[in-house]
Amino acid sequence: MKSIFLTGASGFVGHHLLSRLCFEPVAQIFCLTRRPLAVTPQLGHDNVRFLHGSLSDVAVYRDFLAQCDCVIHLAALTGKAPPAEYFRSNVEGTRILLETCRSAGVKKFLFVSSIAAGFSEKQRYYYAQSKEQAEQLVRQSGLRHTILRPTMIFGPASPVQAGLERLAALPVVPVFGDGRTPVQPIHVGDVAEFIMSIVAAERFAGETLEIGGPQALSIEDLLRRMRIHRTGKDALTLHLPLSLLIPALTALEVLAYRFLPITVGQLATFRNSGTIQPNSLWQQHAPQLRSLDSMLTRQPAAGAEIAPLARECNVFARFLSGPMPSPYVLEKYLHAHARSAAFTDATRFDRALLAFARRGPFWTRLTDSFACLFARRSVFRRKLILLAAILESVPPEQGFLDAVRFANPFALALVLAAKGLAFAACLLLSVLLFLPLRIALGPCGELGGESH
Amino acid sequence: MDRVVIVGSGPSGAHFALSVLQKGYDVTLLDVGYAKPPAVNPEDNFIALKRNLADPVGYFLGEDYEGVVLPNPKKEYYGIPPSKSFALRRPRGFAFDSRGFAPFFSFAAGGIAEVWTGGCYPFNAEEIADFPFDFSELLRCYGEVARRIGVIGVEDDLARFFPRHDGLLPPLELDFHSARLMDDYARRRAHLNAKLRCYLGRTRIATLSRDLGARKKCASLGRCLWGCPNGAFYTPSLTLDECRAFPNFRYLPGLRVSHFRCDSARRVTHVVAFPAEGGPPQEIPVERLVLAAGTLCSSQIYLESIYRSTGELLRLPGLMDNRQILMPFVNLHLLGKPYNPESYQYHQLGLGIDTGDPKGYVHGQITTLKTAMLHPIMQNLPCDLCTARFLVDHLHTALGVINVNLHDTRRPGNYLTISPSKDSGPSQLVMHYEPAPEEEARVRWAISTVRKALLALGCVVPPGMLHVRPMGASVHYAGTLPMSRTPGRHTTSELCQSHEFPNLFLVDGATYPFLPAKNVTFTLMANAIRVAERAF
Repeated sequence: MKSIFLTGASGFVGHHLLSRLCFEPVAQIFCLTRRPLAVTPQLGHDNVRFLHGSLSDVAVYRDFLAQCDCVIHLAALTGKAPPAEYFRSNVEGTRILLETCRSAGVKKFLFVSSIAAGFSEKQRYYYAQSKEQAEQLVRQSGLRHTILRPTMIFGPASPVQAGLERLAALPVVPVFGDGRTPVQPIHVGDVAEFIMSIVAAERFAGETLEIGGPQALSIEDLLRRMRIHRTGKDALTLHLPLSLLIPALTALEVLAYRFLPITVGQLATFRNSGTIQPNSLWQQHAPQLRSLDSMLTRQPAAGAEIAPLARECNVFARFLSGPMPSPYVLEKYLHAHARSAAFTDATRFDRALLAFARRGPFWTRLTDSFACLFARRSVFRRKLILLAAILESVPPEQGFLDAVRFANPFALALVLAAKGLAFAACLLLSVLLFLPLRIALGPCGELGGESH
Repeated sequence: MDRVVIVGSGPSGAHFALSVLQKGYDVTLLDVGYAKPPAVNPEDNFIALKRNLADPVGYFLGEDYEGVVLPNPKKEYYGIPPSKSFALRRPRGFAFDSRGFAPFFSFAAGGIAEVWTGGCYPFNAEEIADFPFDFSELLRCYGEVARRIGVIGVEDDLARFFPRHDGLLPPLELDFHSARLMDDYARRRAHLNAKLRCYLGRTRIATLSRDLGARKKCASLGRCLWGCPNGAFYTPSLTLDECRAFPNFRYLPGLRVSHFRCDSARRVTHVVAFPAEGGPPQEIPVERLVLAAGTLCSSQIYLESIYRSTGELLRLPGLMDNRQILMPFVNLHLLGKPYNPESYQYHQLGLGIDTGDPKGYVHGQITTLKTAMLHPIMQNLPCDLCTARFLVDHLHTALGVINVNLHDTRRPGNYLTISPSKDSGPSQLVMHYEPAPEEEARVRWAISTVRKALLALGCVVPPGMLHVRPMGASVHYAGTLPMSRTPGRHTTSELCQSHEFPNLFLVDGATYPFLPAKNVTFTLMANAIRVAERAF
């Protein structure tokens, strides 16, 4: 295979694709990333080269693009961002890349879009709108191309799966709308396989191909299946009518878009069918696709020791900063554990604190409410401080924002009072929980020497 | 003209070398000389650096994550960042023993001042009353240092403590918080001056407000703590670089001097140095020897030399250091205000307290929080880290720390000695320090006065955050081989010439008979120039 140019290699799909692609006989894989990629054990191949920059930094990648036969364009802004940012990254970024491809003489272009680009209701769903516009640009580019529209993508470290599992873990599971909207999750490894087969077969005939997993089910069923996988029991669900929710959220978005846990756009998943129109490519792969059950069952990762640490990093990062950690943050967190003895389990009480904290962000908060006063030097607390140090060393977009959100002294005082009350409540709960454990299990480990 | 051998490239050694090189002497400088790493991304400010570095965590936290500040019983908020760890690297086999003293040693090219915070505080006439030379000599040399290194400063209320000298550059723009403190001071000045005898003003800092030679003026990158990438902030390795341009200069790094040898007339004839990373010793012939290795290491060389030639294990009394008290504060006027990362990062203001005793000046350096690693602060707040993060975000601009310094005097109970090595290698330095009996009361008084002054400026010191640093932490060491008007054992002349060994000079802090509450670095440089001009 000739050289390939890959954008978005540090993202969720890109990371998996690269792990797969680097074993193929590709002359060179040039990866354009805004961040250095987490160097996973299977990487380190000399046919992979990283270029650091964004799509608008044409000078960084133009010469390398000219050496490539094919471009795989994965880079996109997902999650929640200001509306203009979606169009800047996803539409403008794609336009610049297409132009550079044309001037560099690239022949083939694989664009990974989203099933959401075809949603019928995309009002206020800026991500889907931007993907649809980007698809248009690809179609009009004059390059040989294929557009791939995956459904919701599951697998280890999947942000959408983690979000839905958080919902499914609540005591009462909220279901937006009637819950009958069908979805068809696909495993990230299968998305990588689809991409590989298109590149290998040189299938660039201007098609738009939708790809999904082997099974379609309603969103409510999906949430319940997740709950059953997690606890063994079915969930209590609460239907929240979209007819009330959407106007309320629309009004709130005007006032406080940044602070909402969910936006009107993101509710589109609960309103639009997320299943695919079968096509020849999908049918060819359908028998080998990973089952929904295998996606929902937590697989131990290849390195048995890394899996709990990676989960712990995810949980702690969500507690400290909200979003899931980037692959680079995760890599550094694991690396620190390999380099320093300060972060390994020490005493029985240390292990008990960690066992609680790893259960989820709420448990981390509870554990830290105790540890910040009564177990300041515990291994748990050290790990949390390590992650805070890593998060504040990476660019603000990937770590802490370090931004003032309440400049009005009155609003700040109110929020501070609320946070103080929340802390006091957690402290009380945590003392009731951990004090007996502390008495029963003994103290935390101490750091030896003058430094770690 | 004698060939001059200098030991140590810190502020004293580098400026002494430059002065005698300009006079035409042949100079050999012996140094362990661990070099600072090259500057990375010199155009980037603090935020851009995080975005543009290939491995920002490696840069800020280090390969072994030594930059992560974990909860520690020492209560220090900041460690030396990985980009400056070269300054604390120690040669192979180096060891010491100390009681009541927590020393820092630096074997860097440029010495411990490679990681200083740039405060340039000239001593005044009262403070050098015990020094056996005229104040005007030192004042002239302060001007020369300022011209060489670039010092910003103005004449304001702190001028009553800091004599005016030549060569000052105009100041930098004040950061938002410092400017607010100055405004509040202007309103409460009468109260602060009359009731508390506190004076607020701009500190004098070794950074550039305009280009000086090849060095560019401060670009407000907010990266001082990690090492100024464009040379605006002065460190002695810049002067060492200047020296290297002289054809009559020979720099021999990688050598740790153990002792010197003398002839029967007690003239130094050779120095003996061990390769820093191990190996057999080398002997270097000497016509005039200048020790500028810092009070601790120069004293160690002196003690070792006497031990090797006579078998006598001496004690050098009079070790001094400034007691420092760190008082973090919150400026209530600035809660919830955004912060500007593009700012000079270290202190820009000083708080001077007139104690009534002409030598008892209390000096506080006010550093407002701009760019910084915040996890050391977050973990010290009495709440979970997520809440702490929210608090720090909203208190960022309002936070500051005042570093309060107290003077010290020579006392017989505070001494340096050595414990000889079992093999032929360098001996181990032994330090002993006990605070003066009245120190506790002085510390309490200083804390209470600063607290009141801060309150008058709208700032509070949160309970439990105050930290009295151990002796040794300020790295302003002095006093073990003092200048004296009358020749006495183990003292030096007004020209810092040893009364024991006629061709031996000591140009670092070891020769100070008194230590005011001021960063000594500026005076180290000035005194080294004074000695070079008058004795060579």
